[in-house]
Amino acid sequence: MNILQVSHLQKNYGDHEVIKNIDFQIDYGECVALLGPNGAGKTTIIKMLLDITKPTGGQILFEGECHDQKRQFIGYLPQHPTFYSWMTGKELLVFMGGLSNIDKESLEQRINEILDLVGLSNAENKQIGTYSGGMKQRLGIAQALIHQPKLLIMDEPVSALDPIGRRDMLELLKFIKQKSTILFSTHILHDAEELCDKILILNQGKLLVNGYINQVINQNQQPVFIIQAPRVNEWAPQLVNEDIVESIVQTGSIAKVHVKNIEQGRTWLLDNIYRLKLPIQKFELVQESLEEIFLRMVK
Amino acid sequence: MHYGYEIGIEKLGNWLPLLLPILILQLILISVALWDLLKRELSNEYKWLWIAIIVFVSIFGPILYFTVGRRRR
Amino acid sequence: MDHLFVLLKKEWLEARRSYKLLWFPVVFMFLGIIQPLSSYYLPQILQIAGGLPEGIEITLPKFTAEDVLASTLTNQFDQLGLIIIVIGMMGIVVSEKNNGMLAFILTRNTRLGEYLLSKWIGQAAIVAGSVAIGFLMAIFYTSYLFKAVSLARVAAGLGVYYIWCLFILTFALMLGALLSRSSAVAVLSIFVLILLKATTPLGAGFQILNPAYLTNHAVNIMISGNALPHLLTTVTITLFLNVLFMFLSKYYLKRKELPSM
Repeated sequence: MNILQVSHLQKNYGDHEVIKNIDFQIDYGECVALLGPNGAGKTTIIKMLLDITKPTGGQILFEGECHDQKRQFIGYLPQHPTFYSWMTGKELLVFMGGLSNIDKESLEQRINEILDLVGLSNAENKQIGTYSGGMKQRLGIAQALIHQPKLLIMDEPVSALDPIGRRDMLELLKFIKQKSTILFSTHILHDAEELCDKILILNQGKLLVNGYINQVINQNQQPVFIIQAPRVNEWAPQLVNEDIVESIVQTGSIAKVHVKNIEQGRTWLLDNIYRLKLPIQKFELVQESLEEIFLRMVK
Repeated sequence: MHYGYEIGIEKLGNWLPLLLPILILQLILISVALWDLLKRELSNEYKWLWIAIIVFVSIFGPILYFTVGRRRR
Repeated sequence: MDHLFVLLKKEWLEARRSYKLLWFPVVFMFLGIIQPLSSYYLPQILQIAGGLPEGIEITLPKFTAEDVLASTLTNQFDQLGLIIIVIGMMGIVVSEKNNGMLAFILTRNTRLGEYLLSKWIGQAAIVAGSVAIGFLMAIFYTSYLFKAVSLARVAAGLGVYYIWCLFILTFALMLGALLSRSSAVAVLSIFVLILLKATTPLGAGFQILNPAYLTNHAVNIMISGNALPHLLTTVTITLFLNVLFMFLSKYYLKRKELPSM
């Protein structure tokens, strides 16, 4: 059985379809990234998983059961964790732990462990209002893990942090993922690639890609010819041919030409280079990176 | 210039023990409000504004601070 | 009910950290002192304030100790006191609803009912303590300046009055669940509650249903030691309205999509 099973999930706000019939599942021990540009519907999906927002249609099952019985198996880090600023970090964990039915004896020990894990032991008695953004995020992780949830759900855990805070957070998440099942959303591909085995790419409420990262690359990768020659602007538009060329992207003195078929494309491009007498400096066949696949898909 | 009625010193002496608790309560409110205001990280302008309100707007100054003034970060 | 205890501990901590535990009782102590003091020194105050011309004698009504205590309720607690209670309660649900904390707490194992109940019990305790200590000041001053009063009567009257306080609190809490701005909660609560109060001198049958009329009952118990007719009916109706308000709040919040962080 999988830990999370989402089927035919839909959400409408009035006539506006925000989430369009989405299916995916998460198995035990997996780390899954929900990837998409801003406004793709990532937060809406997460809010439905947590029962903050009611779905318009579809089903969400945790270990085969609906949400109500399973709340304490989920840990949740919101996008902007603004907890009570008048509480100390430790008091917040006592409060959250209490709400998740941890008994008093084990709670004290658990809090010390978790504060140590996220590196907040020194600040445990300071009020949250005095914490930096990175510290608040780490406290958010601590409260999400306090009850040892089976599934950790995080909404943009690293997006708002500065480079150092972000590095710390990624290292922390790498450590956590050894023991937990994780689903997190991000709009930054690099974070997904660094942490996860599986990605879900979401755009405008539709799930475009669902699978392991290397699978996704193999299945979606298109061959690209790189042509480098002076005055790209002048010759690149002449390489458009609907039958053979998928698209052309110009960057600097380089044109990246996606073709539908490698052999056909190569012959056609070389013919044209010869015909236009392009003073080429480079002609190369490369494979798309995951980033290029992602950008192409969400364009 | 005073007009109308004047309170003698001996009368004030009679009133004082009764008025004292009010003064003490007021003082407690003012000092706690000021103590809280000063230890927070706020702009000086904002602080001076609230110091004036706390000290000069009778008993309502501190209350205003506790209900409205503390919300701003 | 473990959650309720956890939530109540949080309410208590918040009341301490926000100084509510300090300023709320202090304001009511203030109000409790003002009425006996100003009643006793009314002649002098009038002379200072008005500067009465020579030769004009005014006869002031003689207050009994019970009168003074009763007017502490009607002139102080039910005016400034009422506004203070509403101001103190206006943010209790609104702020956590707006900043996403309520939605977040509900993603834990918490039920909406437990949450609302913890708010209600916590605030009811603060109001109870504040009203009691404030009135204790009034009793001290009255006993000293006028004469000792029957504590049993005063306690009974205060008990009836407290039910009206609970109504004020529950009404403000419900508006906090329904509306999304604490200023709107305060203005609307004060408007409706003062309106209810303003109808009490009209008498008539409607007062049986009017929670604000509980102050009149309380005053009567303090002054005469006897209850007015229909006391129990009004008490029952008020308690029923409180329960109804709590259910309405819960029902509304349950159906609404709460803001999240």
